[in-house]
Amino acid sequence: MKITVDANGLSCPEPVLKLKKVIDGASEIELLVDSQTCVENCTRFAEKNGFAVTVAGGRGQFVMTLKKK
Amino acid sequence: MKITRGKWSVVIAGVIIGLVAAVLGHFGNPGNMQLCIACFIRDTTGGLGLQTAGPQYIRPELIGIVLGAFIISFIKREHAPKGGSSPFTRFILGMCVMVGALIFLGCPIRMILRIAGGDLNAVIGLIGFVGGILTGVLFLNKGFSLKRNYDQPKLEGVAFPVVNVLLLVLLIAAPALIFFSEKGPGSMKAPILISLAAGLIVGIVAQRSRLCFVSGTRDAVMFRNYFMLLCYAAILVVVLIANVISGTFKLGFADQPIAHTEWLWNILGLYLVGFGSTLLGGCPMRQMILAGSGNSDSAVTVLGFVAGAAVSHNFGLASSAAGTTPNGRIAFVICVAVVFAIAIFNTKKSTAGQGVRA
Repeated sequence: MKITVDANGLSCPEPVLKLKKVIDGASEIELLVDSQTCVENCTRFAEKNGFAVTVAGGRGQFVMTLKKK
Repeated sequence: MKITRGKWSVVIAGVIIGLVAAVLGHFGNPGNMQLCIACFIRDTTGGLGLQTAGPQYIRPELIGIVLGAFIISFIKREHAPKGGSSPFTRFILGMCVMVGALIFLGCPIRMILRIAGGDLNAVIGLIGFVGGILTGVLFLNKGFSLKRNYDQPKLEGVAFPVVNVLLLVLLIAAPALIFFSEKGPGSMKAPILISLAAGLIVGIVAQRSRLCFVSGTRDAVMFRNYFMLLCYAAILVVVLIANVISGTFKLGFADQPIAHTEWLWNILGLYLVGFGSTLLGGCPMRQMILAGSGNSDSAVTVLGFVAGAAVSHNFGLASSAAGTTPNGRIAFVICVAVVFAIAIFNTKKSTAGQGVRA
């Protein structure tokens, strides 16, 4: 089941904290963030937790897709 | 494409910033204060006449940092006008952080520069800084949030860099209405062009590396991500080597440049800085970078720093080499109470779950 997390407008570490809350047991997560810094921080956290990350969008609108490896 | 940066990128960033600091020290910036966001904001506040009891000089380094961050964020298409995440609360937090920084005599970057100069008071202060961050993390884990920001008009995102250009014009034109210290730390300065160039380099490097003196420690604790700590280590090592070469390294507590030896207040001052900055989401330098990148919440935070600096010197809260002041100690108690109140009132257990749908 895919979970969507909307972290738009939130500054780090809040998006990572939101991700942390749902990451256990999830297989696919769609994460919406709005800054490159958040994309990098969330990617680092997701990869550490065994997820493959792809990112679409740019300039204030990013859709990150996290899939369990 | 790789999304995250390698470890070496932050090490290189640290080396560059360390070298820039060493160059600034060589060309005349104060001892162990080659680069300090809090002190330089205080100097600029004085230069504009908003405080008349402390150092006065519109520091070009800060202008360079903001403009560097603005230019590089624009080129990299990361510049985005954002704001509206509890701006007044951020202003107050900014004031409190500045009061703490001026009790210790420095922001986190100066803490590292002081340690690199052999100032053991700063090593003691580090305990408080980490303690403050841990307190902030406690609230973050319980759901602390200043709520989301929103897109803003283009002008809102460029206003802060424009103000900095105007400050530069003021500094160069030097009309009688701005102030220049004739003695003390405000009179110790590298030439304008070198300071400005140094600021531009730091702004660009800090924007690209996401350098933040709070987030590294915070993320190490919260997510076991030790990435940014390498950057601090790199700055420390480079400035330490530069100090040893130039003969300015002096290990000890007493007679350190622009520092006092009241260990408890060094701890408490930086505790306030660490706690407040964690709630703000970044250290004073990071706020400057974000303000340059279009974030008007950070611009408001910087105004909070300015107000904090004005209050600190006009009301005699700021410490000096002689030590803390009674007013400063009272202000500390008030500020810590305010920051705790902000933390408590903005912590709701449910917020971390908001915006999640299955």
